[in-house]
Amino acid sequence: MTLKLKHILPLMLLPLLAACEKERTMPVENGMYYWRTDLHLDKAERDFMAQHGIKRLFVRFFDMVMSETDGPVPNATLTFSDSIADSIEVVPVVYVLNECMKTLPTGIAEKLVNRIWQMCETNGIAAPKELQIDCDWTASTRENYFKFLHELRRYADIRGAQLSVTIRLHQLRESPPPADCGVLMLYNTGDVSRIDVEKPILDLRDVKPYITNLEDYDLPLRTAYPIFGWRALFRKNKFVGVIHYEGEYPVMPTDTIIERRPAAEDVLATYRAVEKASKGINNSVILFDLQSENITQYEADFYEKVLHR
Amino acid sequence: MKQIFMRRFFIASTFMFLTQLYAMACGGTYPTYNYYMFSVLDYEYNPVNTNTDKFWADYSNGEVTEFDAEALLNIARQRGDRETQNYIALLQDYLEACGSNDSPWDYPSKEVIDERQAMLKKILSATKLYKGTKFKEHYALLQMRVNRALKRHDDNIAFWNNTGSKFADSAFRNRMEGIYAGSLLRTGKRSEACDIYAQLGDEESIKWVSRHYCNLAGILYFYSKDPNSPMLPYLVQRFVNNAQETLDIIADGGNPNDPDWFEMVQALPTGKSDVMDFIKFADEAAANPQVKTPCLYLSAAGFLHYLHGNQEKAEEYLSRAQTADGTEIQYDNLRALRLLVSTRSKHNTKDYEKYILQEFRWLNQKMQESSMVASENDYYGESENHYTHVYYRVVFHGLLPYYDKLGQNFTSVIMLSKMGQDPEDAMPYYCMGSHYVQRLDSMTADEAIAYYALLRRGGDTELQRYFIDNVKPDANYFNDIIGTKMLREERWKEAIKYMEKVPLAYLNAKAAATYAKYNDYNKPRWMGKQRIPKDADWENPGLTSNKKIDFCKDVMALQKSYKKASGEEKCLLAYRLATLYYQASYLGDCWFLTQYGQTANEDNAPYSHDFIGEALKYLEVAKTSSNNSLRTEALYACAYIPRDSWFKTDYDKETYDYYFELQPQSRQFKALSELSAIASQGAPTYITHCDVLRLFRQETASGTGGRRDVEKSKYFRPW
Repeated sequence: MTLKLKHILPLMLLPLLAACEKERTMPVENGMYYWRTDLHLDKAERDFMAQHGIKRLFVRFFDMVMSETDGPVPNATLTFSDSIADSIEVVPVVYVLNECMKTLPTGIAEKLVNRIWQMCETNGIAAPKELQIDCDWTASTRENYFKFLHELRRYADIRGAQLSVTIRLHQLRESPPPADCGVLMLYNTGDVSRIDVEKPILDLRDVKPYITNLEDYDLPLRTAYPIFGWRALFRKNKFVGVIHYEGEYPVMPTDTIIERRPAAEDVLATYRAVEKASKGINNSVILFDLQSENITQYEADFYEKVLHR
Repeated sequence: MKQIFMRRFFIASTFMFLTQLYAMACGGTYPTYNYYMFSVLDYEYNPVNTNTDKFWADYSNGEVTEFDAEALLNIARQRGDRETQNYIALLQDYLEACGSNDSPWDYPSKEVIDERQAMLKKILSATKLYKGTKFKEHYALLQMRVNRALKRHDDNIAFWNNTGSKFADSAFRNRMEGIYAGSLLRTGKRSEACDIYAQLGDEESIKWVSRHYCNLAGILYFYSKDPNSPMLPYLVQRFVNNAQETLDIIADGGNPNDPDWFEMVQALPTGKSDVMDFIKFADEAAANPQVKTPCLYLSAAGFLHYLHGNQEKAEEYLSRAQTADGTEIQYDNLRALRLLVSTRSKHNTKDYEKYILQEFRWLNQKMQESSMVASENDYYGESENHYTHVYYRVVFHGLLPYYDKLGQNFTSVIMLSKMGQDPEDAMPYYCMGSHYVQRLDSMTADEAIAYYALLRRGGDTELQRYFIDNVKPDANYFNDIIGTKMLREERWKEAIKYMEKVPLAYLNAKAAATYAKYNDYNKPRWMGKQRIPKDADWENPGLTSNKKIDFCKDVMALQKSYKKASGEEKCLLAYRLATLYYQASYLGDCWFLTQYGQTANEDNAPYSHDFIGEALKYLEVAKTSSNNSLRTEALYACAYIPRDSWFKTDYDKETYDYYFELQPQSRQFKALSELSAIASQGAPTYITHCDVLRLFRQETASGTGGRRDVEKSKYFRPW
């Protein structure tokens, strides 16, 4: 077999292309996730951000869901009841349902980017410097998801923004997505539907098996830690659901509601373990999520340790 | 709910198909007929009457049957009707202001949002200024729609209480009330909103708002608020159907704890302990003098007892329900339940037949008059409704087992013939699956003759006569299947007698005719698969003879000669007979001689002589030939035939790994060993190039014991 020029040319171009690709950098700033459907910050939330010097707000703009008739479409779009101070950088986040990636969503990346930028413009938010995609992708959807991200990154790049992605612990075992950086989600590590799992939101024992080779992961990572809680409803020891609001589920006198919320020490122990596994990974921390009832759950000392190194 | 009925059917069928997909070219998807029985909602009778199109149809004298602004404006302009023009223009403005033409990915600019808000406020003012009478309801509805768009939910609540609720019953009033319910929901008044949705029969909204309430806790919640809450029939129905779903899954061999399944069929797992708790509650509710329809609770409890095998209790509760207060639809539901429950009891045959006939006549009447259409995309067309499904379930899950137990197989088969599939339709699509065709297929030739005679004389009992309903059986269809059964049973002469009655035109119209036209049973299957030419005419293949008759005649002639022959001639005839038998088997190219379809997981047709076994017996004779070529071909044929295979593939029960294991004691293993031995001694190319033999040698080279990783072999991928 003889090698022809058309075979060699791509190989020759590879180093050039690699050189053209922008270096993966990421801002070293702490942030908070904002996951409600209406953007409205109360005084306690604003004060919290100011007190801890948090300048970045990762705001869920909408979900991308699969419609039977229209394919992937936006859902639960954020409404803007409030304005955000110019000093706060808003990072739009789109939660993509994994089922959208079962087939390759063609033409969606451009629509998604256009919609995000239009939402920002309409609502007086500065053009994003970063766009984040949150998706619980699996090995079976990886290929389509990566192709989608590849396209998305191109459109974000045209608008001068970086692309970040969330990385769940199980996804660390797969090759990294084509993004500028990732956010390692250190929550939802256990099974909330099991009454015997006392720490479903964060248990270091569940995290440890995944972080042994964290340093080798080929994507710059930030970390995201939980400050949220869940009210899990059990009936006859069987899981019924997580109660998000009063009246969401009927509750019988014999039911059990268990509040699951990570103890400060659980978060800090994980924080230390992750730092040990990959030095500097906690230089940029995001907390999930900004809500008055969450931020008041922990002592100031806790936030000092997590956010002020 | 109605959509769920059919969804259950299709998913069950698809699942059955998929489980065998790896092994099937064409899979049988048999209907499960496990429709929900419990139905006490009259949504289908009184669907949420919110369709305002009738107004416009009347306005346009039937010219515009669905709202079409341009067409209606044209009519209004022609009539010089300013009032109508103004309203339609305002409605169009409203639709535009709501972004109803936006694509899902659009997001409006600030200017567009401001314009739309301004437009909505302008429309709102206009609705308040209207003083006419013709469009009074229209403007009132529009006002509420605009309030909703502006998120003025309190305004909508006030408007409904002061104005909307005072309108006479109409589609417009219903829509207003629906919007009012939405405003209640958004202002935290969930149970009030639910009650309104239930009263309106707005099923989609009920489904959404009560998605976490379709259980006993939800029932108790609404019951505690109002023991006659309009939500209760809906929730009780969902509960009973969920309990039925849970048991149906178990009956179909599925996992009752499989969340994916329940999500797919939009049900909740509801086990025995939940059911028993419900029955306890039902007792209390039925005894509560405040409860207006105890029939609902007693019939639910009775049916749940039936589902869980408590026949006596089921009958007792259903009897009590009969005398308790209830609505008309609850009594109809009870009557259907009692019919199904009755099939599990012993009865005096004649009295029971009378009862069944009476109930079937009632069911038939309900089927005709009911508007409870099962699904818009119904598999069998729009003629089906809840009562059709009741009929299917009663017959399939009730009366079939009942009459089978009595040994009245023909009564069962006659009933099956009415289960939505006409045998004439089912026959060409044999492999699509029909319980009726399957039952016919399972009969011996003599049974089929007796069954055909029964149909011709219109039945022996009143029940049989009801189902046969003077419909004459198709002679060609039955002569063909009886002849085929005769062939399967090696009753060659009798087979010919029946098949001679079948005209060629009939056979040419069958799907298998093309195979019959091109595939030749004289060519040994082991020497290569016969292919249908690409340019074959599937519509009219042009058969010139009935291949089944030809086959019977050829086998008879060969067998006659074989009996008389000896030595080499006998060996040669044995090889020819083996070729014919194997080709006519379900594994042969000429499967159409004994079958009406072919799937990769086919087995010997019921009551059929073992054609493959017969072929092997003849091959053993052929193998004794002194003619080297014939002996080698016979040996090759023995090695080729996969009966008692040389290997086994299966899943390891513990590791779930798919494995491959040699079977040295098997018939085929021994035949392949023999073939392998001669292959080393200058065998013909059809042996030396045989890929199965190559694999056999490869696999046996490293010993014959133990399980191997199937993934390592390209030949044994499970799919």
